[in-house]
Amino acid sequence: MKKKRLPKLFRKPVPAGKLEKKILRRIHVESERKFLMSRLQRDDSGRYVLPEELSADERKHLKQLAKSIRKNRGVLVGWKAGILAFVLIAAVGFNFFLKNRLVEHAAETALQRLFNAVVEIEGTEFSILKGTIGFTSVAIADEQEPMRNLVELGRTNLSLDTGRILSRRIILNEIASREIRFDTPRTSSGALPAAAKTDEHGPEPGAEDSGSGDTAGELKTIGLEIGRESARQIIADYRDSLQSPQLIDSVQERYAETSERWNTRVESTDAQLDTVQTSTRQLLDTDISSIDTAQEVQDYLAKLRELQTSVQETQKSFEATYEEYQADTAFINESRKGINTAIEEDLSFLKDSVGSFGSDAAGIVASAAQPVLRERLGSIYTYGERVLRIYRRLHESSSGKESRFTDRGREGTTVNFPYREYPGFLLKHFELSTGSAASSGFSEFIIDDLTGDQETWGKPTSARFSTNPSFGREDTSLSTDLIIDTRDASASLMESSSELKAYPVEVSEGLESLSVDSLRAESDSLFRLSIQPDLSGEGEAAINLTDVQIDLSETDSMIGDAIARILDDTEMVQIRVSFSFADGTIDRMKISTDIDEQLNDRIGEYAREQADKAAAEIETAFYDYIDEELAANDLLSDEISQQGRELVENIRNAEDLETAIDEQQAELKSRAQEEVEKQTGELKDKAREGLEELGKDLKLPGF
Amino acid sequence: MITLIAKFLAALNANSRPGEAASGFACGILLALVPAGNLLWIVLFTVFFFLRLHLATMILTTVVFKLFIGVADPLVDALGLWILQLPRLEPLFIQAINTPVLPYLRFNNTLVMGGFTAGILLWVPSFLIGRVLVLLYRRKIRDRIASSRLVKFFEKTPLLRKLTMAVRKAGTVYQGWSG
Repeated sequence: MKKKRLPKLFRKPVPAGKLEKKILRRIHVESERKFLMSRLQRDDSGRYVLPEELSADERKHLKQLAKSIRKNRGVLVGWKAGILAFVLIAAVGFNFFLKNRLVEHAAETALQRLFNAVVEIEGTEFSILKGTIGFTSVAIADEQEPMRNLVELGRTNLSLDTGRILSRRIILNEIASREIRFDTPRTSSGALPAAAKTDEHGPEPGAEDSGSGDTAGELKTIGLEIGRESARQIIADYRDSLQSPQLIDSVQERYAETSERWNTRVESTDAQLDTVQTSTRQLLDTDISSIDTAQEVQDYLAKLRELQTSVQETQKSFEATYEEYQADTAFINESRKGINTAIEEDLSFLKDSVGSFGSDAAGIVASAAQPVLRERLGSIYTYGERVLRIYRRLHESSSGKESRFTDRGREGTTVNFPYREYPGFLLKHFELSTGSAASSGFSEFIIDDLTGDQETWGKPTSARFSTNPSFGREDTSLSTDLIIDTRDASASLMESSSELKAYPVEVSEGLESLSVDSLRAESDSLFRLSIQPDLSGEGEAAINLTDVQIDLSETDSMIGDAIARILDDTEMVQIRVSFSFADGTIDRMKISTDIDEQLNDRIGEYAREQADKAAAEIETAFYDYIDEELAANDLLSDEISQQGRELVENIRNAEDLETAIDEQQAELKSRAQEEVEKQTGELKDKAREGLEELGKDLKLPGF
Repeated sequence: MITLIAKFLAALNANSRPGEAASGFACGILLALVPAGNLLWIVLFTVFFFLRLHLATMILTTVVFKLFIGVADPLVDALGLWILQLPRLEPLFIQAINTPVLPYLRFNNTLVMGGFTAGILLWVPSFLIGRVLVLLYRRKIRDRIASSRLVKFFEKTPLLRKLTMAVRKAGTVYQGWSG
């Protein structure tokens, strides 16, 4: 049987010092120490050595002992330290030698798959701990034209705050790509060797003429030419503002109503009068001479008195009706006076309207510009509203979530120290630029502090876009600054200002009122827009037009000529616009131009002449118009007057009847008196005759 | 748990440094004092994992002391509060709370801060006490226990025999009890 070898630790002789320091000090069990010392022997030089004649059990024991002695060395556990060292070496090796190459290769592969063309990336710098990835240049070849690049990027960086990711906060320090160039030449083919071409690009759908609609809308022309027809037109236009037509209409309506009512009443009185007249006539037709007896007289007299009472009542009734009529129709005179006053005022108003032609002309260019500017400035609001809508979506999606960390069991108390809160999402700096500031063409788009939780971050989101040249013109430049501030204490939700220089303007609609077909000019514009949290707001625009050229309408127009002359003498036209909006529409717009004053002076004289002419025309036309209305009123008025006259006639008739009755009564009385006297005489005569006959027959003594 | 106890017993009886078990004991107390569930506890455990100390002892100590550490919580809480309210340390705490990752240490919690401080302060005494106990055990008790009737009785019990086997397996030089 082969003997087991001694442990390496004990194969060589060990000096006394080393035995104590390296071996015995690492044996912590007394029995083990004794066991070892009992087996060790000293050689000639005083070193400790194990004898060869050890049993198998002793060798096994020594092996285990040696193992335990090795284990008792050092502060770190060997295999654990090995793992730690491996991880560290792997991380450092990856960081220095592999990381950038792997990332570059991965990015190139991914982009090549995406674009089906060669992608070259240089100067890759990737840092996991810093959370940055950057390239000095990226060139993406054009699949269709392999000798050209679709796009070339200059220095491109993406920086992420890795520390905040652990706090579930996405904080992007920077996303920037500078010196972006399109369609640049390549020195080598950008076609992939075996690129799998996909037919993912179908035919582009036909471009829709989205901008060709009647966007100008119904641009009202301002009627400035004054003539006979337009005088009538002005009256028609201003009819709602005139008093007299309305007053005439209302009076006419009242006339008709009154006439109808009194027509009925008059007919009623007529009928009443007829009845009374008939009965009167019948009674008065009685021959008084035929009345012989006192009884007959008495009866007839009673009838007369009864009739008289009836006639008097009828008369009183007629008089009351007439008084009522007078009261009811008193308004006719007042109305007539009112109509006359209204006509005078209306005429004055119409003349003033025409007379103010000159002063209206002070804003003629501004008025003409208003619909055009309203349309174009309205789009600024639309863009602003769109930006805010996107921003609000971002705000809703980035509501910070509380950490799910909770103490379990023992909770303790958390002492709060001032803590810089970070929003759920934050992009500190975003930048895209083409060209360079030193070169002739330069464009940049920058966003700073983009977050949906500005309250936490404490800064508003700002954006800047500038380009020069722009709109395909070398000398045109555009720069726009935008600030979105949703914080509670902010003065406004959005502020933007834009500056557009040397931008060509061409307007061919909405200038008819100026007798101008089209206008071309160079413009320098400054726009400012402020939107409040309720989406209302205000804006300003300062537009300077230079090199203004206009095409006049074919029809001769004093205004057109005046504008042309003014523009010949003027180097620059300044237009100032201020507007406010609410609920998505512009509700107020004030426009002023510096040429309006000049234009006003030029056309003032012409305007006054026109105004005088127009006033005369209007007066004639107005009377033509109003006379028709008044004729109808007069007709009704005459009818009502006739009704009054009929009432008066009825009263007179009633009075006549009463007079006739009185006369009849007088005659009857006379007749009765006469009859009484006659009968009295006859009675006297008869009495006398009787007495005389009685005296003859009767003889008294003594006589 | 049995394996854990076995490893602890092996550490007591094997040829390991008394300091290994003692430091495991001291670190176990520290881990018991600091509430779990925060980065500090994980960091401490990870550091201790790579150091030469007896893990089984540390874990066993942690588990055992966790059962009773609630008794000391009022003191630990008061200590943590006192430290966190020290004006001199406030700038440090403010800087730490605003540094990425560090808030996950939950150092601004009174029990965490108190437990950590108490654990650090108690580490050296715990280590020394543990070392003395291990030495005392090895010198005075170990051999007596190994030859006692009770141990021999235990060795006949199936559960304890399993424990003995585990101890044997764990201990490299252990020659006690059954050997």
